[in-house]
This record gives sequence, structure tokens and C-alpha cells, in this order.
Amino acid sequence: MKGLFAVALGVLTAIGGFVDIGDLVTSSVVGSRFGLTLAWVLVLGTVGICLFAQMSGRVAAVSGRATFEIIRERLGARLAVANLSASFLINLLTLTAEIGGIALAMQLASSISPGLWFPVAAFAVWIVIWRVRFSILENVTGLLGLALVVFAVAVFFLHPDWSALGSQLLQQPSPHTDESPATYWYYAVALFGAAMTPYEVFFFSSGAIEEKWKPKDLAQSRVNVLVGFPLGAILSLSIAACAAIVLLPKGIAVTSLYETALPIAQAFGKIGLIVAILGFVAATFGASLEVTLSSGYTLAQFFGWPWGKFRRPAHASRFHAAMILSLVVALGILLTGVDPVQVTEISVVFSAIALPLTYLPILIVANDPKYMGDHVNGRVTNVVGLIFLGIILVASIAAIPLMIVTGAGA
Amino acid sequence: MIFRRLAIAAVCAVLAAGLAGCSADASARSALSQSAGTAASTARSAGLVLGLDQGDRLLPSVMDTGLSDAADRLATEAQAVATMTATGGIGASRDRILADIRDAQDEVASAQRVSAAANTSAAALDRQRRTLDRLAQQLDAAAKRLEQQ
Repeated sequence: MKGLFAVALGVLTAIGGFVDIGDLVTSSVVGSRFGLTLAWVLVLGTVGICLFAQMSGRVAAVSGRATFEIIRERLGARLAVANLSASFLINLLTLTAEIGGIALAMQLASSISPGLWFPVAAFAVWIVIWRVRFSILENVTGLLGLALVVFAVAVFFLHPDWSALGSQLLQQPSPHTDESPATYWYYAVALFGAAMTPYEVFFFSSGAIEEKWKPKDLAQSRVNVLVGFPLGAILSLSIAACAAIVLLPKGIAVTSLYETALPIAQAFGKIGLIVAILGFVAATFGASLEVTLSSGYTLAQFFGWPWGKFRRPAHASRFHAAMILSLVVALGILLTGVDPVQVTEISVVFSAIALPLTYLPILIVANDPKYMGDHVNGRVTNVVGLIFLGIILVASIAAIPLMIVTGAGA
Repeated sequence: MIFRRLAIAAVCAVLAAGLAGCSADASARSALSQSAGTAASTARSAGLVLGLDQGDRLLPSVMDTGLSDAADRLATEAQAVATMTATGGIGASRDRILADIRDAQDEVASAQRVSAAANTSAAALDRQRRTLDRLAQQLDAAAKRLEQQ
């Protein structure tokens, strides 16, 4: 019974924790501009994140060490520096977007300008990381994130034309839109980057160490990933579907978080909006905690500093200092007056650019019997992994030219 | 010989100037079309916010956020269009688009005042919603015309 509860909690947390500001914004933008024509990218990205998250979780559970520690040891300092630089910079950009997302969600709840919420949000993230136990912060934000299920329910309450909605899944750019093919592919890369954000893998791998996973926990880890993440992706798809049903026919292209919530107001009124805003706050706050921790994990694991929430802060001071520094930098960027939604859009595209540097080392380490023993990747996993690396490489190479050609999707 | 070279250089210069002119023209048209499209989407979004509020389906904080966001975005587009260099036919389009964006700004500002008042006038909000939808249609049509030119 206790085991079943742990599995259910893990799955629910994975569902609720799957969506972050990148998914909220990108899914909504894509739904309002292209309908469900890009749903296939979401499916592809979810398969990819499941593949690499379970791989890095397995590395951590079998070797007892987080992925980054092994990457440096196995691939040498030079390649590890490239991996670290790319991952850390993307983490900073993602953290900026997530803190901005909390502020935008709080603005929806309070009418108070997001500029006043930025410092409050950054401080709240720090204090929770400093004071709250790892399992509590992970489970509470994940479970509250389940409030976003309101989008999945709203799809039915909005009474869509199901055949039209279904036919969008098989179409290239929707007939309702005048979007160019380059813009379509730009958002395909953005959606792929949002689904495969690197911090999720580092958080999953380091979280396995925090929770002291052993090889016997691999089955539960697989269930969390292979059931929780795809169900979480359905929430992203629902956000896109709501935008496709309500905003696309009206010619409203989403550029702000409040527009993401308008279909919920149409379906359920004020009560639905309150639930959706709770989901936004939980999703962005939970992701902020994960990205901040990931920033500390990557730096500390690379430099060999003591790290982890399981240690008292005094015994992992540089790990905590790295997280505080990341929060200060993210806050500094936001206080320059940049639009958090634009930061989010840029962060998911840059995330796509950096993906090969994140995922290639994981594939190499997961094939090394020195660390993995009998738990090295099987043939099928390697074939699928290599196919995904090819896709990741293409997305990474195409991202910047598409960004220039489309004026960042304008 | 020298005259032939000078003639070729002159022809090249004229062609380059012509191409640069065309390119500047196309770029101005594209930027104007984009601004008109963005303003149309913003006006529709503000209209949807007003419509949802009329049906009592919106929290006051979401209504405030929606209208102030629309006001900011329309101000940004108005500024971009006003500072755009455009001549001839494009100049006339620019003036019409700018007038429509400014009208939309006025409607959003007026809606902000009405919604902030103690006794919200449903009729006034409905009229503003219809005006915003009409302006959005005009801006969209202008954006499409510019794209097709």
C-alpha cells in the first residue's frame, strides 16, 4: 500500500510539475496561431524528454552519482565545460522566465504590476529552497500544479467542433492563419525546446540522489517518467487546444499570460479562472525551484563542491551561494524592464540550440559499463536515443536562422 | 573606354539605388503590416476581455491586467507606426493605420475608466467592445492589403 501511494504521488507530481512558463506560453501562442497543427512536436518532445530523463535517473540510481559529476570524469574537463556553460546559461534564462512567470501570474491574482512582484517572487523561491525539505517542495508544487487540469476539462466544456479540431492534427499550418512556413518551423523548434528543457533532466538526475534512489527504485522512476510526463504533456496540449478553440477563430495571437487564461473564463467563469491562476502560480513557482536547484547542482557537481538539499546549508555553502547568485542575476535581468513573455520565448529557442550539448553526454555515460554495470542502455534505447540526437541536432542548427528569418516568430 | 566604364558604373548605381528603394519600400510595408496585425489582435483581445466581463465571467484583476496590457501594446504599436518613414501610397496607409490604432487606444482607455467607476455602465462597455472589434477588422484589412501589394 505504501509503495502504491509512493508511485501515485510520484506520477501526480510528475504530471503537475511537467508544465512550466515555457509550456504555458509556447503552447498557448502556438494554439492561437497554428491551432493543433504543431501537436506532433509536443508528442515528439515528450518522447524525447521521457527517454533522456529516465536515462539520467537510471545513471543516478545505479552509480549513486549525479549525471554532471560523471560527465566531467568520463568526458574530460573541456567537453564538460561546454556542457556546463550551455546548461548554466540556459538555466539562467529559464530561471528569469520562470520568476517573470510567477510575477505575471500574481498580477492576474492581484492587479499589482509584475515589476513589484519580481523581488518578492525571487525571495520566496530562495526562502523555500533554504527552509523546506526537498520532498515537500517537490510534491506540494507538483500537486498544486494539477490545478492546470482545468484546461483539459475546459476543452470539453467549450464544445469544440471535434472533427475540425481533429483535422488540425493532420494539417500543415491551419487554413485560418496566414503564417509563413518559416514561422511554423520556428515555433516547431520553440515547442520542441520547451518540451525538452535541459533543467528537467538535471533536476531529475540530482533529485534521484537527493531521494537516495537505488537500482531497486528504477521501476518506480520509470513509471513516474513514462506515465507522469505524457499525462503532463496532455496538459500542454489542452492549453494549446483551448487557445485553438477560443482565440484562433477570433484572430487573437497570444502575447501575454492573461490571454492564456481567457478560454478558461469563457468555459467556467470566475471559479475556473481562480483555479487556472492557482495552477499558473504553482507551475511557475515549482519550475523556479527546480531551475534554481538545477543551477546549483550543475555548478557544484562540475566543481566537485558538496551539494544537495540533504546536507545542511552550512555544509554546502557554495551550492547555496550559486543558487542565490543565479536568483540575483535573474532578478537583475527582469528589473531592466524586459518582457517576461519575450524572455520565455527566447529561452525555449536557446534551449533548443543547447540541447545537443546536454543530451549527447548523457547518452555516452548511460552506455558506459564502468558506471552502469548491467544497467547500460539496451539496443532499442540506443537506436531511439541516436534518432533523437539527430532531431535535436537539426533543431539546434535550424533555430538561429529561423529566428533571424522570422524576426523571432513575429 | 573610360566613358563606357563610367556609363556602366552609372547604370549600376541607378539599379542599386532602385533596388535599395524597392527594398526600403518593401521593408516599410512589411513593418507596417506587422504593426497593423499586432494592433488588430490586441484590439480583439481587449474586446474579448470586455465581452467576458459583460457576462460576469472575469475577475476584476484579470480585467485590469488585460486592459492595461492592451493599452501598453497599442501605445507601443502607435509609437512604432508614428516613427516609421513611409512615402506615397504607404504614407497614406500609415496615416489610416495610425488613426485606427489611436482610436483603439482611446476606446481601451475609456473602458479602463468605465470599469474603474463605482457603477459600471454595461451599455458603455458593450459599445466599446463593438468599436474595438470594428477597429480590429479595419486594421486586419489594412494589414492584408499591405501584404498583397
